[in-house]
Amino acid sequence: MTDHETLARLMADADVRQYDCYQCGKCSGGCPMADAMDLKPRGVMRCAQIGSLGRILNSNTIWLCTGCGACADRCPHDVNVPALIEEARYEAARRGLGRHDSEVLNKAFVANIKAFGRNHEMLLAGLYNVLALKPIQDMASVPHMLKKNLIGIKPNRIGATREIAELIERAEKWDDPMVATGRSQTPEVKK
Amino acid sequence: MSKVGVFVCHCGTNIASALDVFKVAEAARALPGVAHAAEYKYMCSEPGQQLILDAINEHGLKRVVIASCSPRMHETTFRKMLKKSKINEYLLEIANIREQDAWVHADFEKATEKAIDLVRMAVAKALKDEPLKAQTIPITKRALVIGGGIAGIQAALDIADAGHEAVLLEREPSIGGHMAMLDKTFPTLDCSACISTPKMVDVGAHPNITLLTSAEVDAVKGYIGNFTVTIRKKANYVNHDICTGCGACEQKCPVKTDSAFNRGLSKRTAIYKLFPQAVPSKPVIDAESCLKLKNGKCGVCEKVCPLGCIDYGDEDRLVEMDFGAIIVATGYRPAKWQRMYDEYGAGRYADVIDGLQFERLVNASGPTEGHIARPSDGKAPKTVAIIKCVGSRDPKKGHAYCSRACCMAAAKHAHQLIDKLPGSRVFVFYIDVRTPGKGYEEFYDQTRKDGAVYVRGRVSRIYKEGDTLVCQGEDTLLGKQVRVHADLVILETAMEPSPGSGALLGLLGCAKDADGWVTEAHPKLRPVETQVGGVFLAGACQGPKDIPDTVAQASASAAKAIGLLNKDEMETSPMIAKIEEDKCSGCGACGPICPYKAIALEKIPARDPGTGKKIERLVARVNAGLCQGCGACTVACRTGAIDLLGFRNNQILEEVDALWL
Repeated sequence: MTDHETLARLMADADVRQYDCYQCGKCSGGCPMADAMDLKPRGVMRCAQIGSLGRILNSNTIWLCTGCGACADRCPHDVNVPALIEEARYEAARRGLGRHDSEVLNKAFVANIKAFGRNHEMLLAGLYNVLALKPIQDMASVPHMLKKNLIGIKPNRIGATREIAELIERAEKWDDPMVATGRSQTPEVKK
Repeated sequence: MSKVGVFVCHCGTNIASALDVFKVAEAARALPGVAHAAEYKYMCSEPGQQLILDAINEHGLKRVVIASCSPRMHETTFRKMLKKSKINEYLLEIANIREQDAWVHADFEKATEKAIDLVRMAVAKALKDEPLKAQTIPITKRALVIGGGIAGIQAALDIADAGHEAVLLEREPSIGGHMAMLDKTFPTLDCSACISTPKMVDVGAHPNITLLTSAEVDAVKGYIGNFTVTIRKKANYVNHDICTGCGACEQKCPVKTDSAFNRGLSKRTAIYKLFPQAVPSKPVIDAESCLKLKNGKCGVCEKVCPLGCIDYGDEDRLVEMDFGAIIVATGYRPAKWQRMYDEYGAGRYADVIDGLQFERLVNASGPTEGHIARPSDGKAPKTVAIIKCVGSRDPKKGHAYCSRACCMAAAKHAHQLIDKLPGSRVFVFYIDVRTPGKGYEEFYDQTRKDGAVYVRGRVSRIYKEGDTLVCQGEDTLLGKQVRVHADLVILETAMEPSPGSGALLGLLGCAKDADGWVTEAHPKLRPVETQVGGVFLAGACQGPKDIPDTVAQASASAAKAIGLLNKDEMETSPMIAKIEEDKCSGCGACGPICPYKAIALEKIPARDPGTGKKIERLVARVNAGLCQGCGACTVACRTGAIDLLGFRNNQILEEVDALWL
């Protein structure tokens, strides 16, 4: 499949059309992650318009987008940029373009859910810091967050931990990362 | 057998390249009743028409069939041509071999075959055609102009200057419309009041113009040349016949309520003049805020009025008037952006204002006497952000269309800010700058030279930070987020159809588009006519427009109205429904079917078939002025008493037979 065809498929899956965007920039203007992105949401649409799939897949944007939806909500033409970014994320994963730190976070997150049925923030942060080789990142915030009860030492378990773990295991058996994750979380990155 | 002439048109290559016109003419020659057939490159042209006229004389033709384009295109042309001949102009049939054949079929042979079929059908019908004569209807020489903005004012003045009576209807207590609210007009920076108030005064003083303010249209009856309009003169509780507009009442009125004219930036009294230069220059009472009318207490204005003009018992009055022509000039309203854009504060921030509010702020006769003071604390802003396309070019939250005037309004506002507040910084957020008008691009260019900073990008959100409003967006040319800390934000909002215009169009029977703008009869060639005969349009009711375009359109619609009023009577199409009273049983099934309310039941004298006594019986009658010849009644009639002249049942069946038998 050529890049052109792949892009067309990603656009179709995301239900986004190139011609809907007239480059007003309202998406980038309000994006909370824009400062850190090397390709801002409007840029993603621009690349889609000129058929530059590579730029989208190699950008850090697809890993930084939180999917908050502010851009899509404000877009005058109702372009669902986060949906396109999500599709691009899967494609990047298929091509082995995943980022090490994103991959680490995803793995730690899934392990966390398997263990407790619900995310344990403190453990996730700790695991991420160790695996991503950034041991002291955000450490200064820990006392404040503990004091305000934003994170806790003990995990919050749910009743059906076993069932949740089984669900994830079943999903992991699928080859296609898109099906495997039900399109709700980042798939495993192929080595 | 009547002699029919068939004329096949090539339409350049439009028809000739898609089918064999020579073969069509040849086949036509062999049809029964056809005495002559010819083809020509352009039948509608001068030599083409002459060719037909010559053939009529030479061959003694009695009926004509022209195989060419749609009858919508040139039927009228050929009817006019036949008026020069001995043949009645309704003994003409058009076989549409262009739109319904050449343009839609790719197979040359089959297209030729179809053309021959179409010609055969037309010939069959032509043989059954009967001569018809156009009827005439009288024309009431008076025009109604609905809406007293600059469009209505211009149209009324033009009609009145041409010597016809005009009635100018305005629902507000004064004419003037939005133009009266503006400070200056682009690109010449003429003072808006200085150029519009003299016209308002002219309207008030013109002997041919009757001005009806605080009035609305209640009902419309009739048809082109003969409209009867019921006008509701709303109660204003002040006798304008004796009021001199001294203003004593306004000074003493204790009520304070938001001034709509100043866009909520100041207060007015309950008895008020819309603005100091109002025409008529007389006050009215706003019943919703008047203490006397709400709970019976107060009555101060009645006490201070030296002439006893105040009448708390005033009621709405209905007046019926006859008109020959109607001009719709209902204008626009600025979009209610607060309901559309939560990300711009939805009206929570006092210092986010719309362009029309800024016009009042910068206007010498406005609430601040022209000092640009921000609404929250009255301070002069140092940094101002202007945001364009608010509600425009936004199919999701507002309207898909471009509102046309806002780019220039934004440039004007930027210029005025820099001019009045030296040292201030002005940022204009835009998506595209559209300045197609005489002197417009030059004006925009000058504004940039004056120091306005144009930022390409739609503002994503506005939030408060301390004393300032932060406009956050992307500078799309840099690809970087920008935050402008503004003291005042001006939103250049979209134009929307005036509220209530939809109901008015319903009364008039005029069509409107999906956005609510009046639909013109033809977007290019009949731009000031509506689909209803005798009803014209002017100004922003047809779509967003600036003042020069509005005034030009107003004069154009006035010219159309004058053209109509100049006639004493006009011809109506004779192709209307005809009722054979002998067959009509008076059942009344046709009446409710008629979309034009053209059929009514009437009593006629008759004899009882049994006893032979004189009796009365009901029959349906068609009003020739109202009937548009749609034919709906002919199918509804149970006894088959109704026929559409020019499309009689037997004529149509003859066509069907010609095709199949």
